Amino acid sequence: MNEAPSKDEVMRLIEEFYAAKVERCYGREGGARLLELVTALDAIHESLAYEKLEGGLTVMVALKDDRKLLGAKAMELTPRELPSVIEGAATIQVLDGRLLVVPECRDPLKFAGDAVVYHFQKHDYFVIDGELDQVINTSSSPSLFGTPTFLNLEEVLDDYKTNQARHSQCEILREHLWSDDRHWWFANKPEDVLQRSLKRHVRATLRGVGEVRREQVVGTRPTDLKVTWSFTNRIAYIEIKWLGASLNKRKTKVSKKCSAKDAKKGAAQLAEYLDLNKDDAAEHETMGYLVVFDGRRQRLKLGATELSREDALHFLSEEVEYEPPLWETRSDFRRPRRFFLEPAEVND
Amino acid sequence: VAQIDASFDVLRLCSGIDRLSGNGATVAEIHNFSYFSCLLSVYDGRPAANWGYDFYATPTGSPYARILDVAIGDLSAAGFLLPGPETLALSTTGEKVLGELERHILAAERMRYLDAAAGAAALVPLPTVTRALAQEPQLRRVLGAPTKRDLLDEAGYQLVQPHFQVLAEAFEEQGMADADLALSGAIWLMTLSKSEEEGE
Repeated sequence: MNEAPSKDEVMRLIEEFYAAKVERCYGREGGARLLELVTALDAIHESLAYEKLEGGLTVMVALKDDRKLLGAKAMELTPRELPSVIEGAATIQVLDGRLLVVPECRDPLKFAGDAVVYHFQKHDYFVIDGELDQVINTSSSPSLFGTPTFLNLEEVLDDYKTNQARHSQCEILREHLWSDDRHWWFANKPEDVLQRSLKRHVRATLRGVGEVRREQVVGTRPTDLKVTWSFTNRIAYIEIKWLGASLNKRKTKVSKKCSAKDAKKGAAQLAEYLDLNKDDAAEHETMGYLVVFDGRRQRLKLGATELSREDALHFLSEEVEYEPPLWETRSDFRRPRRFFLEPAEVND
Repeated sequence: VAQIDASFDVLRLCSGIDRLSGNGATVAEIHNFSYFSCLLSVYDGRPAANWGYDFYATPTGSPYARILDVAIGDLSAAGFLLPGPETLALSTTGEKVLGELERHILAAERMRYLDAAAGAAALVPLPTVTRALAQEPQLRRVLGAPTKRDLLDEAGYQLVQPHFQVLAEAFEEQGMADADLALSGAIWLMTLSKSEEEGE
């Protein structure tokens, strides 16, 4: 860029840029406070996964140096300690590099007169002229101040569902998952195949991934996969279940049948596992995922040579009803994902 | 004196970049941020010669000052910098030395520009800084040239000055003539970054 930018373009940037808005609203002093705030925001977002902050996050720096704004109940924590205290929402005052924390989201507008205030609720905001002003963000991430991890994993899982699982496009599934070419019956004990296939896809496609492996835990039943990211405190646990029927090796009888009840059991097991690991992973941000491979076929009998389209696809859109819906009450549990595996052959 | 300036800059920038990245500072970042600090001092009306040492552009379009490499070597040998696999961070002794140097009266002026550069980088995503700076007109000019080229000589100044004039006028017309230097730096980085996105 050898030519100077146009003045109109620079003026537009000044009008829209959050830091210029803050300085215009709070003056040079506010600008200085903002630098303190954004430096702390980087550390806070590094420790807290914004994907879990559904109740909102408010972070502020007081305009007057030594003023405490959150009352006596606020705890003083380091960024590393935040995950052990915060579940889904928080209000934080940055004071001389220290963090004063209450584990609930307070109304950011209430602090407008006393502090430079940042708020996160699906997007970044600053309080400008007494109102929430959304930060212009042209990136694909919800926040300028944090890096997506769980969101990326969810995109990878959704991609897997459509492009690897649905028609058994993944070669591991195609070659080892089914007992028959028509994809009506699972092969005996399909758990390992499902795990290998999903593990390979996550490892190959997830950005910044550190490790994907089977969780090894002594004393408690492990989840199927544990995903960690390099240079972060994030851990995802993936529990895999399958629905449908498998045949024994000789294909002479049904070796196992799994129904919606097994998916529900998987949700409970995952929640229990997350609870058991809470103390061990106190400085980590954890998220649990239940992935259900659904190969159920309606009215399928051993030895059948025909299966109508209606019966083959009967469960295509039949979701499992989970009670209680744990993802509504827990910030570390995502709504279970069901991957319906379509048969390769049906009879019209 | 130039060597002391360079050593101070390395320590102060290392500390500032470490706060931003949480993972130390790379040698390339130290050269980039030092050059950006020098540019901000020029924007602020100081002659480039007052910076104390010179920069040149490498054929890959990166700013470089040999004196910074010498300072990094000396500071590492003295145990003030802890070299990691890819980055440098201040040791405890390094932090103490930086604290001492900061009290020196001559440090205040340099800190204004070093901190403004780090502050500008805090306001925009960190990778944007290096990417945007590569679009700086003097660095852009040498990209792919076979030899290194001096930066902020008279010809270089003539390239960058129109940018600074537009920036200053735009802030003035927005009623923000006395805007913080970090904010001015961030806005300039954003215009440079935008030009890269638009493929100018």
